[in-house]
Amino acid sequence: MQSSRRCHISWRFTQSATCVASFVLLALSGPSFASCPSDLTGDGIVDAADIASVLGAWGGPGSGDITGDGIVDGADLAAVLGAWGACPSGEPPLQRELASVQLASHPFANFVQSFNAGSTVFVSLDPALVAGVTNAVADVYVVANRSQVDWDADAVLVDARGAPDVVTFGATLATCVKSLATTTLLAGDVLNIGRGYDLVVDLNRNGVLDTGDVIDGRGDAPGFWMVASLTAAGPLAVTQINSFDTNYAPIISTFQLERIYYPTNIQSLDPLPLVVISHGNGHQYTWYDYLGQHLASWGYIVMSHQNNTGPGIETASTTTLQHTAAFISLQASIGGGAIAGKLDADKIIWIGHSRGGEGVVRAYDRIFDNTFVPVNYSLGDIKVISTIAPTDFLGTNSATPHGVPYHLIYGAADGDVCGCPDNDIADSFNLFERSTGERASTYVHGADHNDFNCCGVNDFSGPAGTAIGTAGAQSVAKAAFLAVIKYHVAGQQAAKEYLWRQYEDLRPLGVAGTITVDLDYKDPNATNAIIDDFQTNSATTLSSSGGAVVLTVSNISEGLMNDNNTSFTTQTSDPKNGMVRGRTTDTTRDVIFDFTTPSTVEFTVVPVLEDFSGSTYLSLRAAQGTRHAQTVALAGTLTFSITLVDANAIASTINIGAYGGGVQRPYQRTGAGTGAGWQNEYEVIRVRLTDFLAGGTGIDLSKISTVRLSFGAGAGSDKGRVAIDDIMLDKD
Amino acid sequence: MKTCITRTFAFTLMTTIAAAAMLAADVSPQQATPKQITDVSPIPTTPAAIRELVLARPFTLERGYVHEYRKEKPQVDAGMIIVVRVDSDLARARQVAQPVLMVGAQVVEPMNVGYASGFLVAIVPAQRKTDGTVDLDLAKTPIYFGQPELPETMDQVWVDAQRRAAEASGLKPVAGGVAEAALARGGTIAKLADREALDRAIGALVRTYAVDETERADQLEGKIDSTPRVVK
Repeated sequence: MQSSRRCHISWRFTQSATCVASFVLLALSGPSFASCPSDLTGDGIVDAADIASVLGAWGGPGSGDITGDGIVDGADLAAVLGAWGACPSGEPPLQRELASVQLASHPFANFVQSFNAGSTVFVSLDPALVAGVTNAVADVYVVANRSQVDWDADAVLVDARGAPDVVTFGATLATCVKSLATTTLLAGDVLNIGRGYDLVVDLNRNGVLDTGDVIDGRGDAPGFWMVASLTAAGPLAVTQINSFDTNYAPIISTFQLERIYYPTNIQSLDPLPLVVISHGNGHQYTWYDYLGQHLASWGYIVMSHQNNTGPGIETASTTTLQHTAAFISLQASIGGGAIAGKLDADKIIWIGHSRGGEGVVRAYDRIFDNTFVPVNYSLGDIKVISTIAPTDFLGTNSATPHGVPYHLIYGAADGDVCGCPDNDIADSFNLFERSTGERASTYVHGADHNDFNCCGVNDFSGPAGTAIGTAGAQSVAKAAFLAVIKYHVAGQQAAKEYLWRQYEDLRPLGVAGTITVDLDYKDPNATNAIIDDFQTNSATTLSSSGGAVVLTVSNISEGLMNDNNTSFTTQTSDPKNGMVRGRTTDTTRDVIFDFTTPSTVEFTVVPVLEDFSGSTYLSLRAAQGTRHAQTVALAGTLTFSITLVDANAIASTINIGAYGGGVQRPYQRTGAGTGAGWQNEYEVIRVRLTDFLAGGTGIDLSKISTVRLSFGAGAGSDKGRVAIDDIMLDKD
Repeated sequence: MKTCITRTFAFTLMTTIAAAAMLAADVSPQQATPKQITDVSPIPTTPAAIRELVLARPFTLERGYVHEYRKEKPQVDAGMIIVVRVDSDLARARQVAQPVLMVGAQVVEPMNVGYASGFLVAIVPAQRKTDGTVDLDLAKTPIYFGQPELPETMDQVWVDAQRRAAEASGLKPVAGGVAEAALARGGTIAKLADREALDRAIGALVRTYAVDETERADQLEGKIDSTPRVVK
């Protein structure tokens, strides 16, 4: 066999030790880039010229004998055709995050995966980490997503926009973040909210992904998603049945009706999941057209049913359980057989509002506890539960979502399920905190309880001028529900960042820029390590993972997230003021403290957790302490810094404010005591661990000894009171 | 926007709160609080009276149903349909516990919301007498709102306590003449097949008295639109 010939592309990064290290860390383990025997001309591409070479040597031995059998023949011609296209090179291209949002300060780029349609994608390459970038001119390609197999088969770069951007990188991190012309990129793909693209920096500018290039998305997952508007109707026309009478005997006759929404062309589609909507007390099953039509247009069968909420939660849960069974049982008769055979009853989503919200959680709990056995579906068929301002009548042991993916949306101006400190029943977040599975919450300033349906009485309770109204609240709700369902039920990763990136950073299209939303998110299944979740080791000087905690902040309190009195008035006797996330029988805990001078909370990382390199994010959640003197004095978004220190005492610091947003000022609602500010609003903050490498800090992520949170002037806000929880490493 | 029910706005202008007003050692800083709006009326004190008994009609059923508004979940095959005029705040549908409409020591099942109209149509479960009539004398049994609770959790001990509290507070049954007028307005005993038939009878009353709740009346009367339509 002919000896291997390497393509004529040199590995350009060997001059940089840092780069080599990065390469070793990040290089793909794909097919060999060392051999290209069919490239007889040696131009890096197997093409017509190579066929000509074979034909020119036809019948004899020599350079055209690719197969090495001693003769140039049809087998060699087949070898050329089989290797058609660009040659693999001697070394694989570097794979790293490229798609990003530009930041005004260090680390200057926020590497993300989801972008709203029409937005500008930035490409960022750190010259301190990737040799050859400084002052380099490169072609940057946006390529329709290819799988790894596709890339292996065809490395020729084809830009989805027709031509690549020509980018000139600078010499610093800040000058190596470059905008791309992406505003006209197609977004979404039929029922997929996202359309995937791979991003390639073609440093050698040869139009081929090869040695020396850098790619984001060489695996099966794309480098980034361009996401359609989550608030706009999907691609499918929707048919609606205003009232379908189930006449289902287990349900009392007064509550047998359902409103049904489904794609008009459902018979041409694969079977679709079922979304069940359970309304609240005094509400109607006809009040959720905005949601039913929206989800149906995105490929779901939606059923909103009469809900018997008057007697209480147990009865409401029974209604949900039985309507779900009725719908599955009667599917062939609905709409004259319109959806017959098109219901995927293995994928059920329960959405409940207020008492109906607690009802769907209770329904799940009853199946979980085996006190109710559905006739035609099972616990595993319930893929996600989402609730709108649920009540908490039943408490710790009976109103729990257990481990099912759980979502909560809540309006800060809710005048009914108010989140008040004097009534545990009205504290929706109790259910959220009990969730032990993947969970997300959407907290909406200026929205009231009935903004999430069409026609409930006005219960707005908040400062004048802050009401966002039904349209505003429902825009947030439509985006949230669609993201939650597409992510959990359809597995669409493009939706995931809409569950946790700060709204200031990633606001769904169609949600007004004036609306304030806080997102909280946690996935225990993706957690590599917990530094401190405050659930064990109650001493403030010891983390739950067993490491020492050193603090210079003031008035620290670690304990149950339960405001211990009946008002939101700040009092030293109530350090958990504003925490309406648990009853005395619940177990959710956190820490809260304040600062007026530069202060730190420093967590020693125990040796068994020191390797951060296998994780993607450092995650924590934070909330301002409502009505506290320092919160009032701050009167704005709170920021602070996170520092990692490695075993060699190399430190790297990032201010959370760099990513946009921070820890939101509590909604300035009054009542429940003196002062302004409603409940403490937890929101998640996830910092990509590789961001701590930015600028060539040299920190060793495999040997982290300390996680330090720094507060005060120089680190972020100069004053404040802040609650912290769930300091973790996530693998995403 | 919310169009179904007339809204009532209550505006409260909050003023600056002084730190000195706080409890000793509990210091809240001085701050300017923005003007607040709240459209949520507080839950009235209970026990509370109804304003008027408007209509009453006894009924019997050939096939009974389960009364979900009691912990004991009794079977019901007789009772009284009543229409009462009430303070709207007592009828306002709330997600948290709301006052429980009761007749004597029985929890009533409201069949409409009644917030906007001020009229509630409700089912009062009762026993049958041996002669087949309904054993409920509204001239001797008070109609009132008991304390806020979830009816499905209420047992005999609770309802007895509510009745005692109502009587202790001075709440009385309606006068005999009022009860007679209500019964006259309701008409003769309704001898019905089942709960569905009872719903239909009640639907007509909801349509009459709670004019904003025609959708509810339609549902109870089985006047539904089940035609599939392309809407989007």
